[in-house]
Amino acid sequence: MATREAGKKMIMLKSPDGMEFEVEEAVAMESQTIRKMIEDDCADTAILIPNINSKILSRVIEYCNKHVPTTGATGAAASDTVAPAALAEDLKIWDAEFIKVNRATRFDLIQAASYLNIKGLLDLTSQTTIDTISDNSLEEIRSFLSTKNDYLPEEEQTIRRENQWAFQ
Amino acid sequence: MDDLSGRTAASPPPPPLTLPLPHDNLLLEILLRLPPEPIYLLRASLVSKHWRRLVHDARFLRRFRAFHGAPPVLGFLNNQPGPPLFVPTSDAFAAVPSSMMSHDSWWALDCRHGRALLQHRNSGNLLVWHLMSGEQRCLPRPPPALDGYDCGPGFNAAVLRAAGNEDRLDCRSCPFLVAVALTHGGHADLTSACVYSSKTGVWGDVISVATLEEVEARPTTLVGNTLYWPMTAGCILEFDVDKYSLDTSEVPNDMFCYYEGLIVLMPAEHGGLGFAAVDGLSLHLFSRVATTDGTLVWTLCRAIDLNKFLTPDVVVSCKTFSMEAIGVAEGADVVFIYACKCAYMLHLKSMQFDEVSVKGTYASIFPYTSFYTPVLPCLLSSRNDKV
Repeated sequence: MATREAGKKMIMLKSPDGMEFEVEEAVAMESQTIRKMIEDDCADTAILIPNINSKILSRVIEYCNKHVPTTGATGAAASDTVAPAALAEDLKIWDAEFIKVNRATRFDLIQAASYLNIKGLLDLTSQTTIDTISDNSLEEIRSFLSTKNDYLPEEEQTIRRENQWAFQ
Repeated sequence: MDDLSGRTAASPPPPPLTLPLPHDNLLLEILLRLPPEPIYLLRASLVSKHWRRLVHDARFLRRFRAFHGAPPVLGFLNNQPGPPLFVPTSDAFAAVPSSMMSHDSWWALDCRHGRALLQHRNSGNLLVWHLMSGEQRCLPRPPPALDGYDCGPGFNAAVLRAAGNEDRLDCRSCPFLVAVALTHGGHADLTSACVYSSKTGVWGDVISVATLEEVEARPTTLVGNTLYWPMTAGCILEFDVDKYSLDTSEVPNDMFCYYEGLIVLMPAEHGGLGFAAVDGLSLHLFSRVATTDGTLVWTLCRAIDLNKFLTPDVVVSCKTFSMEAIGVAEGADVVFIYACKCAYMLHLKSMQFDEVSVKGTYASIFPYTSFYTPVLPCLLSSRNDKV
């Protein structure tokens, strides 16, 4: 959780289950949705984040805290002495740990990242599903996402015939 | 690739889930992030009819293209014996029906906006080939003033999407234009051009311009609405397709000779006309910029050291057999480079460097790029879908 530092503007984020999270404005503005609210002056001291429960919101804040770009000597993380490549590598390792969650949580995080418009989090949370769609058979994709094949055999045949570039 | 599976069916599917499905918006966010190669959206569309509807939605397809920016390079057309006429660079795409299209009969002239332009080696007839659907269209003979071609020097042609269709998702039914240029009868003093429109099915008026050189059968480039055709000694024939006007410009002769004429015209990275050429082990990217007094000058924008991408034996052999820029995938920022019986693809944005798996002695090539183009958008929806 963000620690309050002198001169930093803080923002209160509220989840629908009544929890409040005090975060630095810069951290909250990792979300393009919140950034727009702040820039348009629509944000009071507290912003209610609908549809995202406190458990998920706290994880989202954790992500934003880690990913907020640090600024000069007052930055939250030590970046002045660390090479950008090492920093990127550190973030990558951190991301890999962060995303070790069950599927339900991952879908909740995708939804939150989508609503709050946090591109990096959306990319990260979507990746496992993308890998599943990219690397597995159609049956495995359907099974992974609990989707049923409702194509008739002749319909599948038609699609195959019309997309010979993929079936040669 | 029978079930489009990345893996074989050996591993058992995971146990069924009881989780609720992610809702459509979420699914679309995920599908948006699939790789840009057409195979991935096709696979997604085969999961279920519902997924097919999501993937084929015009808004989604537009977002998908905007998200990825550049279309993926799927292969290129090649006129050299050995490798096939269409050389795939992605193992998940095969031009249709590539088995029937061979060097014996066809000579590739150009490839752009999903279509290839070929010329029959015997009859000289022009054919436009949609590589994803396999659809082919024979063109009528051009007007007599431009019908002197015999696959010899002095002739070149280009295919492009008709103006006003830039936003079209289904490039298959999108109208196209074919422009031809011919320097007359071996005399370099007059070059003519005209355009065929697939919409009207006829050739337009023939226009001409005085020239000092002959049009050469090397790759054409399109920048804005202007086609640029290289000529034999550094001149460039410029055809503004919208204004229907011809003009000429040039790469200075000393610059042209420095690269031994082996330059490939391309859209410059920051707009305007550019060219790529190799000097030793360095790829040079030039851009034509206007000076304050309006004069156009060629400026070296980037010099990329290729040494670090190549294996030591290729580097050694390049000292004897020089490297050469052989083609550019417009809009995808990929330059094709030939060295020592191999073609390489250099992605200018990511600086990724890939070797083309099909080896061969390549000269000018014509890259093919495409996003997924839904086939038969109305298929199945009328009879069987329950919306």
